[in-house]
Amino acid sequence: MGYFGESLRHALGLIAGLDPEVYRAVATSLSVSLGAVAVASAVAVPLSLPIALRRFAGRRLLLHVLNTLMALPTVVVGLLLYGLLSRRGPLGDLGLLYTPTVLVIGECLLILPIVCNLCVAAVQGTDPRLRLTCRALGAGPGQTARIFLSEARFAVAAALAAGFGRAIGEVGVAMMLGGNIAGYTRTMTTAIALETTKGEFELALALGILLLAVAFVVNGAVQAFQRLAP
Amino acid sequence: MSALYALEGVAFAYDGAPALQVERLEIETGAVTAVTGPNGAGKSTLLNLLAFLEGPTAGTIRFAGRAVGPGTQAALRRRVGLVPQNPYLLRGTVADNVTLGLKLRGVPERAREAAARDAMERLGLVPLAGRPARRLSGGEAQKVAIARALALSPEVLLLDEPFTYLDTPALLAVERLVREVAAEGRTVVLTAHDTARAGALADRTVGLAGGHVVPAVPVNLFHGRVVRDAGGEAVFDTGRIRVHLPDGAPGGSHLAVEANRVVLSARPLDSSMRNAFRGRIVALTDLGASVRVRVAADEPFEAEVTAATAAEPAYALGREVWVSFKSTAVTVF
Repeated sequence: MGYFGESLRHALGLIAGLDPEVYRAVATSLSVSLGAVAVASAVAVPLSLPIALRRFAGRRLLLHVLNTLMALPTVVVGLLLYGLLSRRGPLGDLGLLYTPTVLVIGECLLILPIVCNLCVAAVQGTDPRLRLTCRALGAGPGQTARIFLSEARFAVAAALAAGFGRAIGEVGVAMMLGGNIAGYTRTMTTAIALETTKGEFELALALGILLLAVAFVVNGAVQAFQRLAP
Repeated sequence: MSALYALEGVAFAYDGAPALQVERLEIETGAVTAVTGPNGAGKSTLLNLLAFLEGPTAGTIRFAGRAVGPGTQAALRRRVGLVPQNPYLLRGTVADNVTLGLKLRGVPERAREAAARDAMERLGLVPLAGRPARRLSGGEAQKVAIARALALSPEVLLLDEPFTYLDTPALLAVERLVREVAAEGRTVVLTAHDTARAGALADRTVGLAGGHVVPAVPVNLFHGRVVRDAGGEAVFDTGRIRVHLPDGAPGGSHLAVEANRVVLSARPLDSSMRNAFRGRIVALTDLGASVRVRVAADEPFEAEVTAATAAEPAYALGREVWVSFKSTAVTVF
């Protein structure tokens, strides 16, 4: 078995034994990522409709910027927010640094362009006849928006899943802004990155397995939702 | 009958490209009007204007006596039901689709279901009510789209190429429905490229060609140009034949002759009709009270004659005949 096999056995033991340290990190990761997805979707989904359906000055530039921001390095988001929120920064008085709140903000900013872009693509991917259908049936602007989102709901769900995956799997923002404080801002990824070097390989491995499990469940849920399509 | 729609000097252009130019067109209340013409004639554009989905780029549309403006379009849109060509059905069941417009209007659930059921019954869709709309055949989808519009009890039903995807039983059912809807006092406008079928169904047929209204069915539609003949008179040259024009006829690249103003004869006529061409009868189409006779001359002509005339041996298939028409039967645009 050797070192890896032994560690794997220990890691599975931690998972099966409901090790509180492991599950606290899982809970933090889940709550931070879900919070970030909730805020990002509240902003990105309504925003994606006019971007996808209207023609306005600067639209191409906006799409270009959004595309570029999809590749935003996580450490850059971490760095910017750190500069703003650190004690000497302009927002330092808020005392947000190294709190779960700032993790939500950071992850949200990180995934906002992804969710927005994918939602724009989702709305644009609807049938070109849909708009005429809405108008012919006398739908108002709000009703048209709802119909578009309903028709694009599976692609929108995939967009949210992609945002969630990015948030829960990234380490740069979480490390720079959260600081890996055990039981408070320690997420699965910061624990894996930092605890491994402290010799806690089994803990890190357990979290790695759980991280994959979360991704597996989320993607399974999205696929199940998509299979509902009549 | 009174005119529900009155179009005057109406023009519509897509990004500057003219698609429709209607000098004058009235559509009567409670009648079935067929708009026929080849692809790209502007039929769908006209229907979109009648559905208030677009406003004209020039001219005025009056609906029920009132001029339509950008401020009133949205409200008027709810008084008409448009079934586009190749309609789009939303995710969900057939019943979901049929109730959609009612839902958007805030109709309470029970009234909604009753209206939807009534519309589905009229189109024989009740057995399909629970089926996913996206898995229907083209003809079934067409019927669902008609039911979706009909459920809203529109004053006007606009059908864009309703017969395209229908098999014969479905086609007959839709034709029957169109007659019923008109009998209820509602106005129906439908487009079709099958001029004979649409003409038989409609109280009135409007021809469209190149975005222009042409008299009745534009079967005798030719492309060419106006030139001066040896005597200095304006004639329309199609490249194969030359057609005498009425005095002061405008210039243009299209020429239309109404089929019911084309006269057939076994020998050349000694009359005031200045246009006469010899040809051979190649097809006869029964339109009920009349018969459409297709004559292969140097250009193909269609003449509409009475059933009694068509029954004469001189007008049997393959016989040589003369087609004649007055220069005033000609429209150039």
